[in-house]
Order: sequence, then structure tokens, then C-alpha cells
Amino acid sequence: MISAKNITVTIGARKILDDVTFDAAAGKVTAIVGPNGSGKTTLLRAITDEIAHSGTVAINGTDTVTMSSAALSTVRAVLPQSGTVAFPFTVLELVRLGLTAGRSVADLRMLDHLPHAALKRVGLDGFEGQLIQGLSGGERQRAQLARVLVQVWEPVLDGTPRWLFLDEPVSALDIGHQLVVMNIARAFAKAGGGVVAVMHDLNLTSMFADHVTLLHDGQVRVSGAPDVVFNDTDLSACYGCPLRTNTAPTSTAPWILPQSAILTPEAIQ
Amino acid sequence: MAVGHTLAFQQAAPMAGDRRIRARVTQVMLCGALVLTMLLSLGWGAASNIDVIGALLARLGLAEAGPVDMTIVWDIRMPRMITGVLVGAALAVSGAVMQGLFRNPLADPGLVGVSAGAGLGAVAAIVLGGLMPVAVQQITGGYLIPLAAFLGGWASTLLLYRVATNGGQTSVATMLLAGIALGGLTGAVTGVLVYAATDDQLRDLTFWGMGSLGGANWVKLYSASPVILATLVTAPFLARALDALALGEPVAAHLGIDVQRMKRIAIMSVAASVGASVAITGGIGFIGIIVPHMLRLAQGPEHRMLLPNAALLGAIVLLLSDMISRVIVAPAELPIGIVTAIIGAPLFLWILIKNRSMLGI
Repeated sequence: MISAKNITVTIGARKILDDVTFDAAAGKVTAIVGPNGSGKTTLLRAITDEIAHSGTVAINGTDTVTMSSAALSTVRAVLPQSGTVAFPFTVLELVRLGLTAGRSVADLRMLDHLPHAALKRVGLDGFEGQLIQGLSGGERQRAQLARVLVQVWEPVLDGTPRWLFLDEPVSALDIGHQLVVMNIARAFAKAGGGVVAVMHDLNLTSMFADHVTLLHDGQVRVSGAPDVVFNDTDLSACYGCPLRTNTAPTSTAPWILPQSAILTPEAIQ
Repeated sequence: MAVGHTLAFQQAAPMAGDRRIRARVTQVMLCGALVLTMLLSLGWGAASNIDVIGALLARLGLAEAGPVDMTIVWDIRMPRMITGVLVGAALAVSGAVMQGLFRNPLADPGLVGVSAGAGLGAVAAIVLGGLMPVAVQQITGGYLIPLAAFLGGWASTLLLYRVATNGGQTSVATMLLAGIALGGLTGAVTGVLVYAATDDQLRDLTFWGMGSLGGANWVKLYSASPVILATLVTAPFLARALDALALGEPVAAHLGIDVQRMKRIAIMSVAASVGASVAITGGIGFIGIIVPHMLRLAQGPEHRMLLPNAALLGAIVLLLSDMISRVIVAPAELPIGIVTAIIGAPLFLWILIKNRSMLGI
């Protein structure tokens, strides 16, 4: 369980987040959505202690302020939106960095195979020897995901759920790899772990999330299951454009299209 | 794709990207090369027909050696050689640590003003040390100059890091520009002190500029070696943190690193070892850039193997530079900083050109 209460983040004179309360349950994929500047990434960075904030964050019932980075690294892994790597590490060396978090040297010897397994899962097997700097944006994003996955490889460890925090994990990916990554998140949650993901694509969110928090102007507009949150009124108001939800032909998940938003030739002029 | 090709590829895959074995092989080769260079350094000099091996064995009671041989080998060349090994190792490891800390392959204690700060501390101690109360002079004794160099190096490293780091990100351009400003300032203050110095002090001061192993002796070595050895021993404990830091400070924290604590240790360690090195040899530039860069090309950037190998290669490079500086204008000696700069400066430019896009400058 992630329980963030009364989170407020102020940068300069601007209140980026205003008294936000956010919960996420283990065993579920929880998505944070909202228009640009609504505070999605800031919320993720606040609940992962990357930026100063007021309010409290608890992970599995423990206030994160009372935990060391070493202790936190064993229960949660965080995938940033974009990550630069300062030196020419190979893909394998990068992924192995995730392996070292919170594990003893003896454990590490036993787990030498994990980086390969993680790379295979994100579709990068065979890329072990390549330099990070030589990868495409999408490959780099998946290599970083593999690093994050090996850090919390078992979704539940000693009866405690572990957490994946993903900031726009599919932003640089083609449609096939978007599905690969979202299925990894689903599988992690299904096995008992918790996933919190900042998402841009509402339809992917609708397909893969169990719970959605819709942010608008630094506040929670609505929170709940996708078929509750994704309604014409809230979406159109938040995103500032006419949006209509429908259901996809082969499922009951809400499907969002910018119908009636195509400007007529007169309007363009 | 042909089946045979696929199979071969899969069999090769588990080893691909793992450069740890290559790093181990490099380490063994460097160990051998260092021993050779150390022996060569003992036999290298104006007096050519010295029985180095005999003098070495004589100390252990295994052979006989003349008093001249014993003096030259044990009182002149031995402290010089050990100083070269320690300072070379200290400069290379400090360079690697600093580059890891700043997330930039061009960070070097000599370039960004740390050595200049340490030099200022040492010069201040030489010129102003005599003005201090006798009691203080007695307490600090031979350690005053290393201590002052350490404080100077520490203050400039800290200042530099504070100026160049904003919101957890360290800016390369800011770092280099701040380093220029810092170097200018310390240069000016050093200039004032030189102006105020006596003739005797001036002779001590002249070698700070370019650095030299020529003034090495056992007393200086005893005062600086505990500091240098301590930082060399602690450096490998920073390895995992430095690797993680390559991904940025937030990611390093998520990987379980206490980033603030680690940065403090790294800054103190660089300041201590550069301070101690500058105190006994003056400012020697570029070792901290050349050595880690060559090793990253050879074995990859993982610090667990980079730091110890940098110590080995740093010692070798400095000893070789010292040998060049002793023969190139023999019987006079060229300051060793000139030799390292002639080799290092073009390499620095080459790294700069190659990494221009990556560095964002």
C-alpha cells in the first residue's frame, strides 16, 4: 500500500501540487493521468522522495522519511522519465546496477542470470554488449526498465509487496513495445507487487490500469476505476478539449477519442 | 537468420557486455608493469653504474654494496620512486573519483582549481608559517604544509561543487568556468605571497608551479603517505556509489545510495589526497585525466575495477614521466608537470572533441 497524504509542492511562487491525497494498492496498476503541467510527474517525484514536499508518504505502512535509501531500495524501484548515463556503460553493466541495490555479495553471485532474464523480458536480449549511448531512445528506455525490474525482481519478498514507480514508461516506444511494457507492469501487479505509472496515453491506461487518478491544476479531479474516471465531462474539462468516451468493439474498457474536436475549415480560418 | 548463426549468438550472449574479466587481465598486466617501472626508476639517473639490485639486497643482508650505491639507491632514488608511485596513484584515483562525482570525464583536480587551492595552502604555509606562534609550529611540525595544502584543496573542491551543482545536477560548463575563476584567484593570492617571500622561501616556491619529484625525501614521504594511503584504501568503497551516480543523483538514491554522505566522503577524499600530493610534489596536471580515460577505453567505466587499476596506471605514468623529465635536458631536470602537460593537454583536447555532443558543451 502506498499512502500519500496532503502532498503540497511549491516551486517559487507556484503551487505545483495542492494538498493531494493519493493511494495505491499492491496487486494493482495505478495510473496517474492529466494534461501537461497538471503535476503528474511532480506527484510521482514527491511520493518517491525526489523533491521536497509537505505531507506524508507511507510505503507498506511505514513512513518513508523514517527509512534509509538502502531500505527503500529493497521495496521500490523508480524509472525516471528520461535518464542520461554519464559514462559508456554497456547495457549489461547498466542493468547490473539495479541488481546491486540492497543485495549482499553472496546474493549477487546467485543472481548473475537476472540481468539477462530482465533484458529478455523487455525485448533486448542480444543487446548486452552494446553501449548505452549507441541505443535508440526506445531501446534506452527499455534498458532502464530492465535495470529497474532486476532491482525488485520478485514482486513480493518475504510477504511484503514491492513497488514499481514508472514515469511515462512508454513515451518513447512503438505500439508493439508499448504493449510489452504495459504487460510487464500488469504481470508484476498480478503477482502481488504494486505499480504506479504516470501515463499520457489514455487508451493504454484504460486497457491496463486498475485504478486511475486524474490530476488537474495540481489537484485530484477524480480517482477510481477507469470506467468511472474516464467520462466525457471530467476528461473534456481537464484537457480543455471536447473528448468523448466510447467502448472498444471487443472489450468494455472505455475508449477515448477526440471526436468532434476536428476543427472545421471555417474554424481554422 | 540461419540456425547456426542464432545458436552461436546465444552461446556468446552471456559473456557479452561483461568487461570484468578484461579488467582483471588489465590489472595483472599493470601490476607487472608497475614492478618493472619501479625497478627501472631506481636504476635511472645521472649515476649510471649503480648496483641497484645489490643495494636492495644489501638492506636485507643478502649481499654487499658500497656506501655510494647505498646512499644513491636508498636515500635519493628510493624516496623519489615511492613518492612517484603514491602521488601518481593518488592523482589518478582522485581524477577518477572526481569524474564520477561530477559525472564528467574531463573533471580533473589539476584543471578545476583543486590543485591550485592546495598549492595556495602550501605556499601560504611556507611563507606565513614562520609568523605563527612557536607553540603552534611545534605542534604542526612537518605536517603544516600538507595540512595547509589539504585545507586549500578541500575548500576549493567544496566551493567548486557548490557553485557547479544546482538542484542535484552538476553543470559542466559552470564547473569549468568556476575552475578558471578559482584558479585565477588562487594564482593571484599565491602571487602576492611569492612577492612577499624571502629568497630561501622563493626556492621552495618555484617548484609548486610545475611540480617535481626532485625534492622527494623520506621526511616528506612520511608526512604525506598516511593520508594518501588512507584515501587509496577508502576509494574502492565508493565504487558502487560512483557507478550509480553515473545515472544521476535521484537514480543513485533509488538504488540505495546515501548520496549526500557519499558526496561528502568523495570530496574529502579527493581534497585529502590531492592536498597531500601537492604538498610533496607541487601541482602535477593531467594524470587524473589521462589515466582514467585510457582505462575506461580498455575495460569500461565500472569503478570497482577502474579505481584500483587507475592507482596502478597512475603510478606507472608518473614514474615514466619522471624518467623522461630526468633525461630530456640532462644533466638538468625538466619539471615533471611540463612532461605530463605535453602528453596530457593534447589528449584532453582529443577527449573534448570526441565527446562534444555527449557533454553538451
